[in-house]
Amino acid sequence: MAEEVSSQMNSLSISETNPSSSATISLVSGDDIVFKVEPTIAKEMETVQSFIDETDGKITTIPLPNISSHDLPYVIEYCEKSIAGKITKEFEAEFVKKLNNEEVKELFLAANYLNIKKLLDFLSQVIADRIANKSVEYVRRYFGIENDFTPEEEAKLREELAWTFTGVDPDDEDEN
Amino acid sequence: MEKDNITNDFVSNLPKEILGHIVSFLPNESSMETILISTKWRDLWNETIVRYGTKQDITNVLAKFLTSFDDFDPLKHPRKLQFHYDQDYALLATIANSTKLLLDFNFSPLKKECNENTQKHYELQFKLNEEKKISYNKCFSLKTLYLKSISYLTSEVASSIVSSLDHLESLVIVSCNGLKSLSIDFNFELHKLTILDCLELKWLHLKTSKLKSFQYRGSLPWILPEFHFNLSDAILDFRLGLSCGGIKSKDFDATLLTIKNSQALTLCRWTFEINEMP
Repeated sequence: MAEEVSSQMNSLSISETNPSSSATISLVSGDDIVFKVEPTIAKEMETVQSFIDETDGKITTIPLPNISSHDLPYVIEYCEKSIAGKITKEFEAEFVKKLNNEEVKELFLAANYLNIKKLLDFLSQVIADRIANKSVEYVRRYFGIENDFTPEEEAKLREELAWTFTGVDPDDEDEN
Repeated sequence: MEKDNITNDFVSNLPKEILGHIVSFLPNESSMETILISTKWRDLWNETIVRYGTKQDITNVLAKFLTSFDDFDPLKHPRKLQFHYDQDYALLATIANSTKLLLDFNFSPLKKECNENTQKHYELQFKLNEEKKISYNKCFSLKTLYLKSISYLTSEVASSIVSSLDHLESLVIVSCNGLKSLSIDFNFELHKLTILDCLELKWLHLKTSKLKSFQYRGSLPWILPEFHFNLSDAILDFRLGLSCGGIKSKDFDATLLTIKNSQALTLCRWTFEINEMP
């Protein structure tokens, strides 16, 4: 069993030893809170893993200045589930229920920064679900984006859009 | 939960790929609307490929362009193509999704030239039936096609493109100045035909048995339907009057044939009443 684990971790020079305090990776959040995680967790985070690889595993304390101690536990939780192969629809539904819009965005940025493909896909879907079929004004508020169109530009664009893509296939819009 | 009083823009600093990633998870019709968020998003959507060539290349360039588009990741490849051909002319192709395309034939930086072109009259013949199935471009799986500003110079190209679309369900023809005669011969699933503002159109020959929806705006042409339709809706707007003086009220019977069974009918100005006057 231990061998199996260590073979999984062969990119970590430190992985020869049994999981112990020396094997854990310390992730330091932007507000200086240390989170100790198993190397397998770190492996899920490509950014962290490549940092470890570059230093031949000698450095096990990784500063993550862009990620707060509020968000990091969520990321770790997701990675743990992912390793355990327990990412189910139910888990994801529960996971996302805990998050408000702000947290979803922060986690998305964290997943992007840490380069965690699965989490990024998942959160992209969550964001997409939350802005799908919403008004543009809502989406702007959601993203915190200023409308920088002049009224003329926006009117022109809307006209182009209406002309080309909508208003002609009422069947497609009825569902909205 | 909706306090959202943040000042920093969540997405402005993210690379295009990441924004595209979110968009790729949106349902098709919804994804396109992100173009309205801000100028940055508009510019993402409006990235345009520019190509140069000759008129003969148009079909192939278009086919290639359509093939590279990915519905599931619509920002990955530009959805606009500007094709400059024969030196002075250009067309703009805009993809809404892989089954929906707009072709604007009068996209030219040299507007003067175009105005000259639109003076000349031309005919369009769209012909697609089982006996004569060209389909040299299998990738043309378009279901909805918008044709804008075709001129006598591009009428042949337009005809050959349309005549190769055996999945076409909806055809929209807009602002084709100089178009004098239009003949549509489709045995396939063409359900919807829309003709708007083709002001010089005098002859409209319809050989489309499956038509369900017909919309026309412009001056009343001679309409020659070869089938009795059972339209579900029709919108006829002849506020511009007659396309030529020779049309009598009895000639309007054919137009009536196209709409007689329509479930929903919208008419703007009942033209032949005026025509009855000497």
